[in-house]
Amino acid sequence: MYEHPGNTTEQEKNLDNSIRIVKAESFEMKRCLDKGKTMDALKHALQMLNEMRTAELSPKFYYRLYMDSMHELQCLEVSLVQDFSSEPAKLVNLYECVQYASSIIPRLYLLVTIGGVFIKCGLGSRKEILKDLVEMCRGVQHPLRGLFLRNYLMQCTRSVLPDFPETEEMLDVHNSNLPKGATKLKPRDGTVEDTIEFVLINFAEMNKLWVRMQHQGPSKEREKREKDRLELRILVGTNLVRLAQLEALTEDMYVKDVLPSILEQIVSCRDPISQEYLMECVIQVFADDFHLATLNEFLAACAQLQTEVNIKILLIALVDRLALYTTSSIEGGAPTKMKLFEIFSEQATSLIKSRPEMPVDDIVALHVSLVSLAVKCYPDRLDYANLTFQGLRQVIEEKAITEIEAFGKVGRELTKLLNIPVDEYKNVLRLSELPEFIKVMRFFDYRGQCNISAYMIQNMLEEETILRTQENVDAAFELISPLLKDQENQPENSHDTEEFIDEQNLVARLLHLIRADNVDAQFLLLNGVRKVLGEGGRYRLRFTLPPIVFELYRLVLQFAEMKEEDEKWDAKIRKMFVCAMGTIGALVSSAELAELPLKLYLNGAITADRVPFEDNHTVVYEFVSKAMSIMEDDVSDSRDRVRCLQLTVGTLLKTTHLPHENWEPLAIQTVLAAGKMFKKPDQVRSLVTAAALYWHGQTLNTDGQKMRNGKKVVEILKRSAKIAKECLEPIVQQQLFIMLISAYTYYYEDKCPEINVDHIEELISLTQDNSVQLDVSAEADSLEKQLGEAIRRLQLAKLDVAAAQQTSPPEPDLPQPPNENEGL
Amino acid sequence: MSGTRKKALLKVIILGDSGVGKTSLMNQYVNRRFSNQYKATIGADFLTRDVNIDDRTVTLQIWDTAGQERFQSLGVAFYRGADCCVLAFDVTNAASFKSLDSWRDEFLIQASPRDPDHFPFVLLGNKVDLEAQRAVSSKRAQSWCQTKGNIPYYEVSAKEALNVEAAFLAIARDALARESQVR
Repeated sequence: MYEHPGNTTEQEKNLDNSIRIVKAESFEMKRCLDKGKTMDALKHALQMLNEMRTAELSPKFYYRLYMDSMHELQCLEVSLVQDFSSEPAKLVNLYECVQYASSIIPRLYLLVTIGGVFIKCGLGSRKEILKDLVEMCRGVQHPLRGLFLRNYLMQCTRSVLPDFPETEEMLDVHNSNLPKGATKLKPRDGTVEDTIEFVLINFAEMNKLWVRMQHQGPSKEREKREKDRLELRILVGTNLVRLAQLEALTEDMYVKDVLPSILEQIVSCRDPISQEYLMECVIQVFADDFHLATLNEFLAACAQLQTEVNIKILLIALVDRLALYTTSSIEGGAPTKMKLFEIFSEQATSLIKSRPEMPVDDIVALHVSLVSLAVKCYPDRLDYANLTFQGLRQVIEEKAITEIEAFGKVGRELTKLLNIPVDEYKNVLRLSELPEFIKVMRFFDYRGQCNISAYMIQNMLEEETILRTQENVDAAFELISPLLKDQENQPENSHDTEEFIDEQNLVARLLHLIRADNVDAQFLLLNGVRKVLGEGGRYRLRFTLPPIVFELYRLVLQFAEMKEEDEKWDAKIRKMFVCAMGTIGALVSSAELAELPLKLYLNGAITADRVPFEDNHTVVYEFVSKAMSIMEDDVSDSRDRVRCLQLTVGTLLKTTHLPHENWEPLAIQTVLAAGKMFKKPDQVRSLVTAAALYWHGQTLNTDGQKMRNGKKVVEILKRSAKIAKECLEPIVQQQLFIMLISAYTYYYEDKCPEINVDHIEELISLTQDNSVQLDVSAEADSLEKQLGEAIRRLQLAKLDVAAAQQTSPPEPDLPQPPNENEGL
Repeated sequence: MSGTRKKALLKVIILGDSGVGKTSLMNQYVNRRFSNQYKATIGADFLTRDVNIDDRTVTLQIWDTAGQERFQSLGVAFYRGADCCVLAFDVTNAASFKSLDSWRDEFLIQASPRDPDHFPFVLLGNKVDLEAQRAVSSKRAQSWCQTKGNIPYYEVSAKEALNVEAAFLAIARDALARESQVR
């Protein structure tokens, strides 16, 4: 350790001083080399390397000093190799001289450098030199300095480590670059086993230095020391990189010697920082094949690590790496893949057992990796995925955990876990083949379960997962059941939340994915679904039942074309309407809604009117009358009532198949309802609307013509004009008058003979009188303009009517109703 | 011994995202070998290769670096004294191309070369053997190079040894020319 860990500025200063000396000495060193004074050059090199003895620098600063010094040593090496390759024997002198250097750090750096030159020049036994060097380095037991020295050893020897046995051809390139007269390099001794031993020794020594570092120095600086240690970790890891780089390292050697030694070192050092880092290094630096061949060994070692080690990170790194490999490699076929899942699964289970204090989110995260492996690498092995969910369920049950918070630490992992098969299968129905999936899902709290259910529906909508059979529907409904009916763990106010509305809208959209192969089956599905949804409680029904009704109407229209194909056609269509009626009825009785079921009834009436099944008018009548009953009984707000009445009139105007005796009570009832509006202006407007029934309405008895009952129209208009006169508010009255003028003009234009132009003009003059008395306001202005428009329109209509009378044969004068003027 | 006979040592740093093939490029150039297997690099490590340029023997010291930041816990002191910086990306991986700017900036900040505007960079687009999966067109890479002061661009394949030799030779030539200018 550096004994006086000064602040950064101080460190900079110390580093600058050292680097200045390194520059000066290396400059001298190179000058001596240029002059051929090798001994003097080495003396300067030793001076330069003295700086590496400093205790003033923290790891990152020391690393910078090391880099600069190493660069100079490289220059020295290149020069020495060049100078001595023709007469390598002279190197022995140098080596011996350097051995007399008094300080160990500079001496060992130089000896390592010269050792490298020996090997590069082919002098001596490569194997022995390497062995000597790695042993000599034991002389430095100071962690920081020792780690860097050994790192230098690894760097310096990298290109000369025995790998494949050397041959003359391998040295050809080297020899062809030698200057003239230089001795050609002969194949050198040593095998890859020697290298392995060399690196493993260095690795073990470095790890010991690194682990020991935490115990050196006062305990109050422990935190800082741990930070330093973490910075130094790459030096230790480099040894593993070196092993992984060996070309001649076979899988067999890795399995039998290399990995066991590494693991033994990692496990026995009993230091969590070292263990976690080195295990990850092993995963990262060695090839996938090697990992596949040693899964059991590696995972068994994981189980022996200190409890502070975050095993989750390691396993996930390994699983993710291998999952990627097995999915991407073509040859990663059956034999390699075969056991991968089983091994991971077993090891993960025993690991969780052996570590009772492992956090639950870590346990779930581990399963995320496992499920991901199972689902991505073994898409056909649903049992693997199921097994993983089962394993997790058992763990959670043992820990007696329930109601996992949706957005807590564990909940977030659980969400990830459950989303994997949804995303990967792209077919939510397949999840029903994972019975354990749903059990795990049930550990969530209410929100969590709803979230995952909604996620599944979204997936079904995106993937257009069609629900074709009862089994499909059951499977889907089972998965999303938290959205379909009230749950025990449901919070009180959950119906008022935005999430609830969004989710119910999703359920509604899901219902449109129900598509059986034929009409009968589709009807059965809808009928069945309706019953399930019916239990959803009033807050859900408003979202879930309307889609069923619309689906039924859609089915009716689809079936309408198939009259020839089914002898029970009439009865079946009737049944569909009965089913729709019952469904709408539930919206009234259970969901206590009014306007929505009213609209659905009216929609049904129009649908029934369009399909010519036997006695379809009875359905039309029933549906319209039910709609009107709702308006009478359940729509209390006056504006809502006006709107509902308009809808009813609109619907009646679209129906053409009611016999007159059925049409009339509906029309009478409508006019009655219009006249019974609470506010007078509403009465006026509604009556004007309802008047259209007697003009445009069609029944079975009108032979495809419109009703054109002008007498009735005028009667209703007169009634409303009378009411309008009773309104006290001048502006409102004025509005109503103008509306009435327009209505009269409309029927006059449409050649309603009962309309008398004089009445209209009378009404106009009344309105004009009124308008003078209105207070000045923007509204009054606007009404003035509207009145002008209405008058202009009447003038045009009069011209039209006059023109028509001239060209067409004269019609007999219609009798003027008596007392026409009274009403105005 | 005369000074001209001395070998030059040129320091070349390869930078780029994890997985673009930095180690493979170096291995192909120095050892003429290629392996399809992915092995992460930790820290920084170099290999050397001698090349002859105009009767001069130059030792290229090629630094392969870890693309993953967590494997650079000691910082990037190895940038110091670099004679050339090779930026590498994977032509099948658009993200690795997008990172080039930050690699270049990081290098200029950390290495603080004397003349940052004219420091020699070279861009290598690796994995051109996977033409079908290409995500970065040659044109796009070239126009990036133009905006950075006409950096030379080579499309290479470490796997097929395509253009690797030529690229490194050009790198050596360029760095050597600059070095003799400075001295």
